[in-house]
Amino acid sequence: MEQNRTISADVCAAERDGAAEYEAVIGLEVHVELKTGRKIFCSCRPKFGDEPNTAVCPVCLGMPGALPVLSDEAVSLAVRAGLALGCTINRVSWFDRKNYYYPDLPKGYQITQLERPVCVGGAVPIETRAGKREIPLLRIHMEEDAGKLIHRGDETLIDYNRAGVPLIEIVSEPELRTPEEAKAYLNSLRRILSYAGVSDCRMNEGSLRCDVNVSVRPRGSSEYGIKCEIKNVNSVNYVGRALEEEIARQTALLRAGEEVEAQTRRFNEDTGKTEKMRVKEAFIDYRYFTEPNLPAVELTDEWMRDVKDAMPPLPDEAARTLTERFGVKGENAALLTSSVFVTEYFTACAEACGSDAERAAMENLFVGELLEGIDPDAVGAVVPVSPSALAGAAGLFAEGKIVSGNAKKLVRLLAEAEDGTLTREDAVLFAERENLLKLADPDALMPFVRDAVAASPRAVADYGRGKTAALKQILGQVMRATGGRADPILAEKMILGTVEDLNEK
Amino acid sequence: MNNLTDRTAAELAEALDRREISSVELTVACLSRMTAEEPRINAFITPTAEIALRQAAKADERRKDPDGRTLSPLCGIPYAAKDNFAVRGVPLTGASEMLREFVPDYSAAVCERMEAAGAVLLGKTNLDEFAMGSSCERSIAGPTRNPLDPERSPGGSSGGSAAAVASGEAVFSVGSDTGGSARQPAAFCGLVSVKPTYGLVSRRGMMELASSLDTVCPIAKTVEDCALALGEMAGADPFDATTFASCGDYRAFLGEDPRGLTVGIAEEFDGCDESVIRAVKRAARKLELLGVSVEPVKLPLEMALEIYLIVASAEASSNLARYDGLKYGLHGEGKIAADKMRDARTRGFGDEVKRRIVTGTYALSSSYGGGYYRKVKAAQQSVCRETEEILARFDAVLLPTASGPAFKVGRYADDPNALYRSDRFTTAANLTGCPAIQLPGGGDGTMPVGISLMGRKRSEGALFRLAAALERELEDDVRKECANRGAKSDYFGGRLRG
Repeated sequence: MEQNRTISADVCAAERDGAAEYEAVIGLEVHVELKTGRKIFCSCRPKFGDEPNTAVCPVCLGMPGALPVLSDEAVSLAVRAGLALGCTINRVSWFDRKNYYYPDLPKGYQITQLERPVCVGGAVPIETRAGKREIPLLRIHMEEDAGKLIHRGDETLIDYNRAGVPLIEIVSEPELRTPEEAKAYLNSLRRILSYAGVSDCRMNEGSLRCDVNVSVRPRGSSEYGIKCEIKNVNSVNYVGRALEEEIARQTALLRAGEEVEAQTRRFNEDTGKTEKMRVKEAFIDYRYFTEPNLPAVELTDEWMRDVKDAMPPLPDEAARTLTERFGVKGENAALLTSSVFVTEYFTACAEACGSDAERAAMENLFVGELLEGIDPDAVGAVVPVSPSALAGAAGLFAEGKIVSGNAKKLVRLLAEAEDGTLTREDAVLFAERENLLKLADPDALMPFVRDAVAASPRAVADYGRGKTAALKQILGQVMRATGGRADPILAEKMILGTVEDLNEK
Repeated sequence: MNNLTDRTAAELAEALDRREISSVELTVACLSRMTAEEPRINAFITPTAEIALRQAAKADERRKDPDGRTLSPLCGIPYAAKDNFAVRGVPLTGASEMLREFVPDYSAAVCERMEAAGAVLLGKTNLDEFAMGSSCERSIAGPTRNPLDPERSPGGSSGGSAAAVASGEAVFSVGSDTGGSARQPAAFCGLVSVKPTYGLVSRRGMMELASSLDTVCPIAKTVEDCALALGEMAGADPFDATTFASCGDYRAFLGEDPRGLTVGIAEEFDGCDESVIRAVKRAARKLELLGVSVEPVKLPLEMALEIYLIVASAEASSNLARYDGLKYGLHGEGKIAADKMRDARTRGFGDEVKRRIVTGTYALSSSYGGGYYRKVKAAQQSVCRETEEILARFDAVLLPTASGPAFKVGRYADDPNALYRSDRFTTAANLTGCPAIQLPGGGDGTMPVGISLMGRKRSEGALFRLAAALERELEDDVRKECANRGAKSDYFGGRLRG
């Protein structure tokens, strides 16, 4: 048992804290905003950043007599999410009312699915340093979002633009064990759902929100400890940090022989700590009952077929396509399918390349120089370098006209130009203007060679005594003097000629 | 023409058609009647004279130049709408302090359809607060009085809509019925009302009481007028997901001979006045004479009432949660949101509303009785099954509408339970979603009593066929037994001529 334990960074951290005898049990509840453009029960079309209370109507404001009508598109995206995650789709599901008073809840109840959600089961595949694993899901249900409270000094304003926005809540089984797994789960979920066209999954805009449930128990125990819920953590990294903090806090309590109190907590982004919001009531009575204004959702065979037909390629399939079309292999295939945007951008770049060698060079530049800077959360993300300019830079390398380091520098310069219209020719002009191209002209190279040889009498003498490796030292000097631009093969040939000439004299 | 406003919609439609009168003339007659009667009756919360005159002028234009469109018979006919239906720009109070100042910028589907037909809106009528009640006296506007005897209640909650028609202020009206709220006032005022199959008429824009039971109903002087109005109101609405398509013009059923139909007689007269028992038995006899086969049945009425009271309160407690004093309506005072809500709901709701919210909240509470509400819903299903099985054997079931004629205003003010019990003949139709039609069946010598025909879902056609035949057969008896009704005006079963 002990020796089988996977050594992950988190376990290492736990061991460092002397807490390896405990393990965490983590379950995530993820709310995802469906990309339907309109609200789930009315036709308001809110956009992120709209003026408050401009995308509202009698239905989403809960005015007397206004009735909900279910958006078919919301159902099809919820089902799409279920299909993408391998869930069982309930052909008959229905909505329930969850009754509670809160200022952001216009009707005094939320329309959600309790008894019969649209999807059950399924799993999210994750990959961590410990390997691949599937995290099982409990259910996915549809519901409406609430409005947003805006606290200003001692007053609170309410923006109902978000009220009625379609959500799915994806509830995992408590099968996650480490912060690393939780982060991998969120990234995987985001990747799959953005691919399936279900949601933008932008955590910074709230289109993907995460509630974290975590408890700690002695390793090997089959019972659950008392859990805390950390509400509304809004980035993948914060989920990781919040979990590390919370696991450490709960572990310390248990080690000290104290009890964990069931609490609802929040993650303070400034301090990096979790804070108590309130004691979790053992039981909140939401007085659920079936929503009378909405008939049950019945999915016909034909409707299901249409949803399946409309399903875009999922990440694994997209990775296979990149391999087949462009020879992308291994880890790069996964990296280049981290989001639809990345895949589409890479595909455009690959299509702009003229040869396999150029494409291979482009792939390295893309993964090495651009990938990290692409933010899948960004609104209307723009490509950092136009596909043809990137292909141009890769082409210079493939043709041996630029050394690897300068090719990377060229890509960075192209990105800094922030000009999406740059062409292949512009890439060459940039390289020339910035003196990044290789020195491959003997006349231009000769002065550097002469200077380096003249400055290395000892190496010349060594070479005369048969130590051929001595020339490498002179080549190094040439490379330094030219800022890495000298064509190393030509330079070496010229050094050899010059040294031999010298030694013959 | 004298007593213009006491005529039926069908008669007036003909008169308009023949250009004997104009809609403006008719509307002015209604408005004058309102001026004369309102101090005594108090049927309206918000009269809309300006809208009425504008719509009447427009209706006259349309009748002159239909522009290729088929004219609705209701074009130019003045009507009243219960003040739980939204009309854009007109206060929508629900008779509640909570919404005294609330003006919607949207209209109820039924009012939109009435406007499309060219009907003329005279005003918004009184009701029990949020349609909770059977007497039309728990209202910010004070009680409405029965035009046949101002000492008496017009029934409720659609008491204002019934009183407006019975007083001749409006030609017909729109009411709502969640447990008998349109049929019982129609019975108390000697009128006809149809509670349609759940989903036949859109509820959009109607203030919700119990969403799974709420229906929209015409209230009129005759079966024919109800058929006419229902035809205009019915049909699928893309904005009410529970609606379905209507079968068209219900007047087509009125002339059909009921011979060969089968009617069950619910002989459950426990606590009923002699006049009611006599009316039901007489109607059964008349049906037999018409060639209808009749047979006694027993409906689970008591059980339906018990379940109804819980389901209606439970849904109401949730539906009324939207009135939180934050967004619209009565503004709640207080430092924090919870205080504002508490303040608005304390001041904004009357006792009966609070009683039902508490009852409903308690019934829904999962800590109460271990899944109490689930059991109630299961019982509802078994009552529905039982009722549907009975209805399947008949074309309709005949039963009383209420246990007696209109009671005195204030009689049940301190006895809510007794008032709840007065709904026991009507709630089964709401609980099962089945249609029912109320028509005058006789009287106690001065005041009318009502009888009802209840049928399978979507069996409005058969109900109209039977009701029209009964209306003809009972005309003389009703006249004889309702001195007040005869004295008040001359409308009788649409037979008024010349």
